[in-house]
Amino acid sequence: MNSQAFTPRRAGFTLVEMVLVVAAMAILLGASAPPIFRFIQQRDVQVEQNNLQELRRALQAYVADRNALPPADDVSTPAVEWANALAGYTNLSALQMTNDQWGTPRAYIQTVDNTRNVQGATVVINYATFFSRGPDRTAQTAPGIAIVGTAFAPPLDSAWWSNQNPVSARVTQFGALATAGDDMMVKFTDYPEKLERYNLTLTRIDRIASALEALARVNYSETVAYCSGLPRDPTTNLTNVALCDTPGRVERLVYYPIGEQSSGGPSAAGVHRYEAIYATNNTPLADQVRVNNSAASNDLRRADMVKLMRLLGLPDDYCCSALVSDPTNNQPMPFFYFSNPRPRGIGAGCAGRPGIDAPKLPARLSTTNNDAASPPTCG
Amino acid sequence: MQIALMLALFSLLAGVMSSYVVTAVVSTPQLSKALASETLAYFRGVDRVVNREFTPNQLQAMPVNMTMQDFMNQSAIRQLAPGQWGNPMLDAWGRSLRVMRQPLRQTVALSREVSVPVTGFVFISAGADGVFQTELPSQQIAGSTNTAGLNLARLQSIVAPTGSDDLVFAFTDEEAQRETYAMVKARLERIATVMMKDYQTKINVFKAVHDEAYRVQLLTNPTAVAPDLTVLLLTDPNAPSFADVNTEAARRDLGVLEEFVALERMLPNNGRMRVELTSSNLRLGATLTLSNFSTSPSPWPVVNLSIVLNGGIN
Repeated sequence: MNSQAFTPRRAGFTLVEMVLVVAAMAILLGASAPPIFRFIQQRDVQVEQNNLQELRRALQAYVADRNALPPADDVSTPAVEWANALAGYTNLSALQMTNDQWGTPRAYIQTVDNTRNVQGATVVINYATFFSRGPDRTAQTAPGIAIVGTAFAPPLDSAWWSNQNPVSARVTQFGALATAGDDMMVKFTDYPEKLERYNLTLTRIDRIASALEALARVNYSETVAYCSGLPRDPTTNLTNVALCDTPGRVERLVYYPIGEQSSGGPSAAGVHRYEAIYATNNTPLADQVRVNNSAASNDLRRADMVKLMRLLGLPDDYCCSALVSDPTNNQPMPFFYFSNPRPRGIGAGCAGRPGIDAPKLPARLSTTNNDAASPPTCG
Repeated sequence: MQIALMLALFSLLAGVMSSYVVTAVVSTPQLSKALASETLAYFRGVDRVVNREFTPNQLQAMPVNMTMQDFMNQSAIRQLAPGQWGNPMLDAWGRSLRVMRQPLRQTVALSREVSVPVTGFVFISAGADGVFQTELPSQQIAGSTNTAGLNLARLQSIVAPTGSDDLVFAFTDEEAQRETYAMVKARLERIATVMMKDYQTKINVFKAVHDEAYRVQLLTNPTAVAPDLTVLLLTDPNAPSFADVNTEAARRDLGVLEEFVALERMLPNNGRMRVELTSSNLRLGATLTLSNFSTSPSPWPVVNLSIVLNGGIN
């Protein structure tokens, strides 16, 4: 009988098995590590590109909503103001907005071109860029891109594209911006949208002009009929109503809704005649549309313009420019309306408005108050 | 025990790997969509710039002898370019675009009076796969220049084939030319309206004064002959006439100076229009004509838009 004691075999790997498994794993990991690393890096780059695109979309929505760019960072509060401003326009978290995929702060650089002339009108255009340092976490300098050490420079650094002078140079450099190394960037401008808004504003003005012309013709016809129907003095063949008493005067009237001038009070001739017509026709003066260009606020003038639009049968939003917002409350900026379109003489002071008694047609709409005490132009 | 440990280790590695893969799988189409959107926004932006700024300002999208490279390098176009490349000839993926234009040899008639040059454009991006699949109606697409023999209809019929991810965008500036023409005509009509109203007012006053004098005369002389106002219009030194708007003072006085400035504006190539009032007798009528300035014509080759102002006493 074999007296050797039975020793149960313990479950487990032998040293050789362990060495083989570990060696196999090491080979597998060694072979797959570089492509995996590249894959991860590529994925991070894609995620960062997606986030930058998302930031651009958020900025687009913000500008469309507010007609202005978020403020740039200042040195004391980097990446706070613009990120807070965009928070309501994106699903990105605060950290995803302010830092890139590799944890380094993004740079948000912006400028406003308020010198752009589009068909004679000044159109304010916004420009902005978001930058990421890329996978190497190091900012690379390039024309229009400013760095300090391995980071992007603060927005006020003179090397940034947004700080070139004159303003047209900023726009030129914005157009030529290209990142260096593995840095990433998205650009934003609302230039095409502003062109579209400019066109929309022109369309509104054209439609208002047509509606005013139609209204003026109706008012003119009504007034001629009214004056023709009045009893006449058998001796002088004139009526007893001042409005109609002078031959040829009816044709000289301005039959537009009233636009008050800010300097010198309402146009006495135009307004009083107009009021006389409607007072005689039993239309209460209080119900008349009267656009006060010297109103204390844009809101009040907007309310006047909305009444005018309703009188003309036009949508309420035709009251205002599609290009400009009131900076105090972000509401559309109402037009200025002049019932007497005679331009001022181009002379010293631009004081007089010549021929205010003359029947010049049609009325005038403007985005600036040319009747102000110090008009920007005499037109 | 050890097997479980090994399995757990492999599972962990597989989990980490799969999360990367899933993230990549999700983010890749998202990114492709975003880049396609950015590229298309660029094309639409160029369309707007051409139709809202270039053509209205210059009366043509681009001079015939300008290359597409120079056209695309203009600041207004460059600033719209997608991506981070600083190159207007690249799409959002950083790959070359195919960009073509076709200035029409013949002009498109907008009305009997005016015909204008119209330019068609086609922008094609190869999309995410970087391969162009769109067939073009001309073989002359090498580089990024124009395609001879391509007309607007064929140009606008270029589309990406089914299943292709090419981005194709074609447009013309015909709409802008039509709008500009409508604006030009409206301004000219507005000048004519103001001139007519001014004239009619003066005629009415003139007529009323003579009527009143005749009526007073009748009180003392019942056989007095009614004045012939048509004759008086020609003989009376105080008889009214159309305002001579060939002078700047008269234009300003009538409140239509801005209309003239807009119509006669100088164009980038020094081309310009001219509005001229012609008449043998301003008391009886006049013709207001918009024409190309002969010594420095505008890009609109033929412009001869006239409005006849009929005078006299009816």
